Amino acid sequence: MSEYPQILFFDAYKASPREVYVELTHGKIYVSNTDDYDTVLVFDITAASVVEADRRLFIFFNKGRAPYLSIDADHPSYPELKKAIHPDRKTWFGKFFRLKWPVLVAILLSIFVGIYFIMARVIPAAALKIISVQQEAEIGNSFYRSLMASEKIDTAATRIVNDFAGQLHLSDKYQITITVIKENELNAYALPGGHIVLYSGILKVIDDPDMLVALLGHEASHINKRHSLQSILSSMSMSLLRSMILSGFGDVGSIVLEHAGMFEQLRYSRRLEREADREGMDLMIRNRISPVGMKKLMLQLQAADHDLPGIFSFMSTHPMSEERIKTADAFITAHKSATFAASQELIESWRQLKAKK
Amino acid sequence: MENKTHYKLGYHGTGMDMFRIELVNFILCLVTLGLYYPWAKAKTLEYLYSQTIFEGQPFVFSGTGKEMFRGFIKAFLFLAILWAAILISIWYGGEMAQLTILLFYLVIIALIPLIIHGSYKYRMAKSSWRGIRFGYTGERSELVKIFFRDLFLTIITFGIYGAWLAMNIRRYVLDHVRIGNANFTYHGSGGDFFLLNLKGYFLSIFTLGIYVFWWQKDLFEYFVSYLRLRQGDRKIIFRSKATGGGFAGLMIVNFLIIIFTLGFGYAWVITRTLRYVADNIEMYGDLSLDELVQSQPDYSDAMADDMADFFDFGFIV
Repeated sequence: MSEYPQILFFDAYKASPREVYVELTHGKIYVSNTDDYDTVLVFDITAASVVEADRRLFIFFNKGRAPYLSIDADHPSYPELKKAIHPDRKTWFGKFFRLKWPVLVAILLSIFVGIYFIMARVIPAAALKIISVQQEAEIGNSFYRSLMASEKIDTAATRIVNDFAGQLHLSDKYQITITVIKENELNAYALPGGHIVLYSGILKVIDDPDMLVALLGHEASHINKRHSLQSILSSMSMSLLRSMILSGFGDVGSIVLEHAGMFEQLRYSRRLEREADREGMDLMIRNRISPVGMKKLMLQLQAADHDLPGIFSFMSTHPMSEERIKTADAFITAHKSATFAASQELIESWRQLKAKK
Repeated sequence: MENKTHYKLGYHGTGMDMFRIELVNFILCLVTLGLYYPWAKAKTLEYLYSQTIFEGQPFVFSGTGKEMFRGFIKAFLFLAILWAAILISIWYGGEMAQLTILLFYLVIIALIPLIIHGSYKYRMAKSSWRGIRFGYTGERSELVKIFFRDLFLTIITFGIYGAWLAMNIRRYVLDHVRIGNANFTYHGSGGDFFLLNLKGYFLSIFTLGIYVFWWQKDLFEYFVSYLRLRQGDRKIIFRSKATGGGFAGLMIVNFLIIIFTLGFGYAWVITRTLRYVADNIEMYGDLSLDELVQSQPDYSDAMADDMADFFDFGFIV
């Protein structure tokens, strides 16, 4: 083979190339053995594809990618042929591929943000709309059964606290049922659909009926506002997103996302706690109970619980107690003029509860 | 060999070009919920092949997204039916459930040689150089026989025979890879491979992992140096020039790239690796490449190749 720039033709029959002459006219490539253009082969450039590598151009004439031409970069026909057969001219891929990479990165990021928004906000919100109050109660009941399987229920206290709650109007839509668990823990939680679970430890530190109303009001607000259903749905859809990303990105990306997801989850549940405080105090007003009970409850819990030091507080699911107390104070000041009167029956239930201990 | 020729191999792709291809692929896979995957794979392979230049001409991958999509659907349906069958039999099986699970594992294991066979058959038929197709001429039943015989021996020797299993499969597969009318041969043996791994394993422990790079170098060398390409009595001999230090540099920097780019630097990792591999294979001999002629048939069933992706097999024996 000569040292000069050349066009080689591989015929897909033998590996030995032939040096050929090429003419490009009317969308067709004419390949000939000699420079007097006795054409031996004609190819349509619309069916051709091209690859550039190592300072050569390779033109394939069909989908099977054989036969093909190999053209040196310094051959005079190189620019003309390269221009005639642009890689992937018509396909989607080709159009995309010719975008500058920062544009591609921007497209990618906006798709990510879009998917994140859909998964974190749209899907949970839509699911919340679809799930009926009755279905929610069923979900809550099944949680309740599996949670209670391993707990010791204080039946006497449970009956009295339910009597107490029966004197209050806690919910328009949900049947509120309270369960007291015999365990010295400062904890209480609400399940979707109407179950409130109290630990006897938290009942011990409550020393006036208004505080108990505050606690029930707070938990009932979680139920009324469908908070636990919301957090279940959002954590489900976030973990779905995580596993989607995991398959696309590998380990490092998923670890970063996991932490981002955890902070998002914490921020989200702190917002829910604040809302439950506010709604709980509204419930207290509606039941003609002083919202001061909420503040007292918070102070008592803060004193009893060795609260997390301030530096950790943004990691906690409960907003900083100081901040919650301040919010409660503001609410109390705003409702100074309201009149409060607990019913006789409520006071009676309270006496029974305290007498029991 | 009197007229000893040196053959030149090089990878000429760039990280940036591959990054653009992967970025476009990723976006299209994302918006099509993964259905674009076979086309993405075709684009990637096309690029990687075309930038690998042997004696001035590129390797060519001529598989299409459409073929691989068909294979993808077939593989998906097959596995879906398999899953459904196992779930139904667990549900209704009662006492027999454990037997079904065992049977299921056997089916999955039995798929391995079939996947290797089908995957090689497709991949080789769609690979060419200078317009001459590669081909895989192994017999499915033969590979299955070797696989199960060696698997049995591996189990009763508590894994020791695994080295022989790996080498027997590799030898069988590579001995049946052809390009046109030339064929590859491989003569690695289980005994040597076992000792190499034994040495690599213990020295890696004693050196707190540092020896891993030299172990990797040995594995690479063991693959390359026992490979030949023959045509009649002429041949090409393959030799590895890789060093432990070279592998250390390659693998440590690759690791750092992945960590610090959160995986986005994957394209550069592939590029660096292929460049290192191509630059460290030396080839010489008396085989005349001009004398290769087309003699391997085309084959377009990509099911096994897609199945390999579902199980995350690399394309390596």
